Amino acid sequence: MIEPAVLERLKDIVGSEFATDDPEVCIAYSRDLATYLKFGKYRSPDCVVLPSTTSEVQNIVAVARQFKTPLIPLGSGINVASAHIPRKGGIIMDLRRMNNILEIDEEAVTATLQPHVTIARMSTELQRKGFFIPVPGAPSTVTVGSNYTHGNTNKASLRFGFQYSHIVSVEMVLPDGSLLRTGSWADAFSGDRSWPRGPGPDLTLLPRYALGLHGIVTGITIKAHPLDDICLPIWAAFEHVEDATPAFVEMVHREICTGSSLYGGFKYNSYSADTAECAWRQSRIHPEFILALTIQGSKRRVAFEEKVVRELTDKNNGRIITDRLPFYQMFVDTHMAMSASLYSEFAFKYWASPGAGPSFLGPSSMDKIIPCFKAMTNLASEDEAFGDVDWGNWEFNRSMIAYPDQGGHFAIIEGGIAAHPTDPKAIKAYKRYVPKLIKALADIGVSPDQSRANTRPGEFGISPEYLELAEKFRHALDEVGIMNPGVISPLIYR
Amino acid sequence: MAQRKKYAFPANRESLEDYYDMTLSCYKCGYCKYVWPSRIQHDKFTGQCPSGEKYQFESYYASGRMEVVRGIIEGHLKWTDRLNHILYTCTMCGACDESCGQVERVYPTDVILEARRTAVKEGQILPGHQQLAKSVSKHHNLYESDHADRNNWAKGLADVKSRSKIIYFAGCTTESLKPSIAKSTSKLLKSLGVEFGILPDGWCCGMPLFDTGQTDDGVKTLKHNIEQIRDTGAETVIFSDAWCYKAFRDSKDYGIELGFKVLHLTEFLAPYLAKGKLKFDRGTNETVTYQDPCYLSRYFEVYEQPRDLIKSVKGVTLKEMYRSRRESFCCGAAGGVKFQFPEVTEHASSTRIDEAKHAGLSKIVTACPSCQISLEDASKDNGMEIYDIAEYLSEGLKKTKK
Amino acid sequence: MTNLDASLALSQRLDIEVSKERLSNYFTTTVEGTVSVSKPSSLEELMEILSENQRERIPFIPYAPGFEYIFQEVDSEFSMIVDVSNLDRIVDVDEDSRVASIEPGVTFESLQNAVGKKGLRVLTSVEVPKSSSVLWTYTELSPLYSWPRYGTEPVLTMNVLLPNGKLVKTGAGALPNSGKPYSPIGPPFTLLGRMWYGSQMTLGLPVRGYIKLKTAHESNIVRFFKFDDFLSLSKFLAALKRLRIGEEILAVTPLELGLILSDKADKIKTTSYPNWLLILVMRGYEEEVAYQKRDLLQEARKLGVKVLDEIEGQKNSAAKILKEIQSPTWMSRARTYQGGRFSISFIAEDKKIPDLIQLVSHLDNFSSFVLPVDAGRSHCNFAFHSRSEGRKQSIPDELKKIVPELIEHGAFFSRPFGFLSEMVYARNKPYHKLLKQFKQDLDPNNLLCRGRLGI
Repeated sequence: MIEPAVLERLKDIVGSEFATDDPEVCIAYSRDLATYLKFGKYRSPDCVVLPSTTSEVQNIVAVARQFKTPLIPLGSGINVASAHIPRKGGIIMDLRRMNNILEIDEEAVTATLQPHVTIARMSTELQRKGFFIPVPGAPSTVTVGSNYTHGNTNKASLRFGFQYSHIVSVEMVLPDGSLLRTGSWADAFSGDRSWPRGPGPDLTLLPRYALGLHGIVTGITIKAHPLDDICLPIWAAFEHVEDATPAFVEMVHREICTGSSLYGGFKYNSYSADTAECAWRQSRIHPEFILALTIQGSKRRVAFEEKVVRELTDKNNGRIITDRLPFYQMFVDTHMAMSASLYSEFAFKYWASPGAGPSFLGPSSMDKIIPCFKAMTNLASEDEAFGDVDWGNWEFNRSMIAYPDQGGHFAIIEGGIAAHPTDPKAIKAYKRYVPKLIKALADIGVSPDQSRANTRPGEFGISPEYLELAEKFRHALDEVGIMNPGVISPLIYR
Repeated sequence: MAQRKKYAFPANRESLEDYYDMTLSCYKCGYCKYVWPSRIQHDKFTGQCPSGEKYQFESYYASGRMEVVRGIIEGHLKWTDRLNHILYTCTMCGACDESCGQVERVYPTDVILEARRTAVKEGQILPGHQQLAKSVSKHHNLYESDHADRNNWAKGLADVKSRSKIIYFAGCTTESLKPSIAKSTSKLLKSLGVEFGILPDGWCCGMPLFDTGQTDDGVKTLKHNIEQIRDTGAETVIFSDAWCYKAFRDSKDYGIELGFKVLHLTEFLAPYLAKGKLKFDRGTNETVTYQDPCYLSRYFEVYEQPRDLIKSVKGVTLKEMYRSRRESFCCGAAGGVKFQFPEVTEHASSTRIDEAKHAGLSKIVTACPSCQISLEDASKDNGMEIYDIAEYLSEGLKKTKK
Repeated sequence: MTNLDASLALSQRLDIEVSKERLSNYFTTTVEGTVSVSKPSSLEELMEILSENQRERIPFIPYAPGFEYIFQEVDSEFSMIVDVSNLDRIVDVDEDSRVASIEPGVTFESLQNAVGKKGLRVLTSVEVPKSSSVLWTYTELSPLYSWPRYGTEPVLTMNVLLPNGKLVKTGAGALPNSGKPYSPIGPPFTLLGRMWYGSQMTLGLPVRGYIKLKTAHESNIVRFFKFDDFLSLSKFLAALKRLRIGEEILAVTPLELGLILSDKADKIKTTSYPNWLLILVMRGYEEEVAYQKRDLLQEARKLGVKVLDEIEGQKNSAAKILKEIQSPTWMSRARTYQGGRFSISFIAEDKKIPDLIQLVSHLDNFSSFVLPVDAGRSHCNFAFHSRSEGRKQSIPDELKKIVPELIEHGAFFSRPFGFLSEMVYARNKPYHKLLKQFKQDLDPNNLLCRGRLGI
């Protein structure tokens, strides 16, 4: 229950039509798919408020502080973390009305926007002006504010790094209601937003992976890139991970390609299949490992890099299959434009797995890629959920991807099972398989970083020193403890 | 908690509980809220949910409504004004279905419609919608018009026929509020030498009753019309109104086999146009745009026929708005919304007019009287001209050189 | 007992060598003084020193090889220098991931020697001598002095020793079983992996870094381009940026070029040099460099820019440039030219740079190098050379007057120190307030680098 005085104050701030404690409105903020495994039941906020300006956000924070009411900022709400599901009730601050693109600086190739501009909108506007932002590993309906502060992957990460490296500066309302700007935006008088560091110790990443605990992003400047002459997706197929990985690693060392990921098991089929059965049939005839690469650049660069890719594929017993794929054009379109089609047909629903998001996501050094894929296959062959590896039950299919960050000094490994997210059988299989997978990979030396996703208490830990420091800073920012309380359970960090 | 059922085909679901897994299947990917990303034309016009755009709370978008329905099924939510407001401000335009069908396949309007039916079963009928049922029951139309006047428009243009291979079903909105559409349609048909009749006792098609969960009343009035048509021995029925068209096209959902072909006027005219039997000249060079009626386009994929007809008019250039075809933005009239929450209709149609203006357009052609009316209402002070396609074409017919 | 005495007394208590030395042996300073210097030879010793300093409330400042270049001036608000030169282990070189795990005492020279044999190469920083600490140069100077092609984070993750002697591992290092913690995106709160950059050692000491290495290329080609004014140079840079040509790119004024190319500071000849010279290095396999050369030529022709293999009248200039990138020596010449060098560095939009130069070009022996850090904006280094007795004091005073003007005209001092930090933070009060809060939490007695950054 929200105190009537709180609701009245919120209505005064945003207008009575944009603040309510009606349970019928609140319930819409009570669930994402990860809530299956996190809570078992769904949790509504006590009230919802929709600010439209930074000063409204500041005033709402002041009210929450005064009444010591939990405050949960909500960006796109598209996450695999239950990050915005209120653990302890309180106010959901839905930033939906803050959806303006404030400026596109064509000289600095940056864009400044409010938090609720979707990736799709931002891409459209930038491409109109001859620029692009990397397509994220998320639906393009995700907002820039959410994705850049909490997302990782994109389809050009080998060349540009993960999403957060595109943050130039942020404007945040801190939990005490004050306004912080970072980078050159911190200068109260210049208005320049083009430089991402400092002044002095770099606080640009204050909102990054902070799940709202450090404040509310009300503005963000991001880096874009000039459109290249050519974008060429190219896929190499391999039957053995021992062939695929060296080719992959050598390409990374040669610093060619804009994007690169190694798919094993099931997932690559899912992009082109529109039913579960279709995905299964495709998986029967498709090669076991696929190296999905994108080459971008001038004509000469693309020609050169394509030649190297073909040579390295050939050298490692692979073959280029892109030329024959019926759905090839989809990749050409989506690599430069929107992730929608990639995440549309089948993958989004099924790969999500019960609990949403890959079951495992962890950073790995380049030499651990082969052991990770092998562990997945071995585990799957021992697990009844998968049946026979070659004739696997399509309902629960194992899969894994490795994708490197900028320059390829490490890769992120995603793994899990793909199944219909509401299928009780799948949930059961998931609950049995995922802890096994996490343990198997941890034995190799690859640890999950899914604290924010579907990892449950007791599944992994973070060093106490790190947590102590994080808690110190959180407390320095929010001594009252109003911001998204309970979102990070101490139980998770044994 | 309701038993989870796995993946039953929507048509096989019988009660709201049967939709529980669909509500759970939604995990907020957000595609239902926006124009399909790769088809965005302008960053200012990316929303596609009329009620969500107006009220902004998650509950007013398809994804939020899935939670609301889950709340009803699980017994967390009781029937309240707010609940009804959330359920009944959806225009059933199907934009969310279009996106969701490509992603998660929840088909939100199916779930919302079932929730409305449940509401009605539990005595939750909103005054505006109750009035509709009363009017249909008493006057056999939505507008309390005198039933005897229904065919007034037809004098000298069309005849009631006891037997006719082709029947023109104008619908009560056209008859009561936009008779010019019926007149224009008749002129078009006559210009082609088409022999057609109209029904002696046509009633409301029932679509707004279906949309508002009053299924039994809807079936009653729909059946009456079907029987009348069968009595004429008609093989084809032509519609001006996308609502009526949908009511008949969906009849199988209510266990009714029609036994005759259902065509929108634009579908009927298309073959004649292809054969070169239709030529239009409005005597002017102009650029117009086309508003897709949701119940014609998204539901039944009648996208190209009206466009081909408009493009065939001499001197006319068809320019699309930023959101068109599958991504078209609803005028806000459908789903029974305008009878209970006209402010939603006003907001949606004003948004659409803004879009047309932003794209530099000043003339909109549509193919449904309800779209025409709501867009006209939003154009009173801004000079936007709104036409029904029958009117637009028949005016060109006058100047056709034989 | 004074702080100095207390710090010297540590020597006996901890069995760690603590000596008494002149401050100017370690840092350039206008305030001469005596300090104690401890030289831990292991992480454990360093942790002990920090704990003891906390107990005894001894203000201290860390020193790593090359810090005399990085911090041009220090005040003396401390009693002890903690010199980490002996923490110089190259713990591991991972060829698959091209990552080295190093301690802060490891220098560019020693690391290059170690990785060169494996076909790898260390990312150097612009003008920083090879005798400098790799890790602390990166954390202090990146991304400003990094070659932009290599990205903004040469350190993937690090272990940071907090002022209270506790060790925090960032990124994947905070996760269990992380034998190779290369990913900066480990657990939540990524800030904890980033905030040490540019912190001027006020918040903690990076004692282990997992740093990026690059493949050593078979073909390394230098090209030069002459420009009369900076704006035409900037236009050309934008085209190169789009084509992604150039591993290292630098624009220099005649005097700066002279300092780079000459062997001795007193033999600099600048008369034949253009107003601005753009230096570009392409690296890769031969075939790779060949297509880049063609792309470059095509673009240069389009913009009417002449491509030069060597600087006119300067034999072996290309070879000299490659050498200066791998092992910079020009700072040592610059620091003695005309008696001494003052420099300030900041970020500015390219279009504003000519105006900014106008504001300072009258100062003694002005020179500049400009590093195109990102589209449309560059890192500018403005330097003035004179150490005559009269100018020793007056140049800093003049700068204090000019800096506010530079800021007004678009200079952003992202790495403020000395008098700059006061000026910068006066315009960034909320940011400064938060920094002070964090500093208070980490170092409640304000012992580490006391006074720096005004926190």
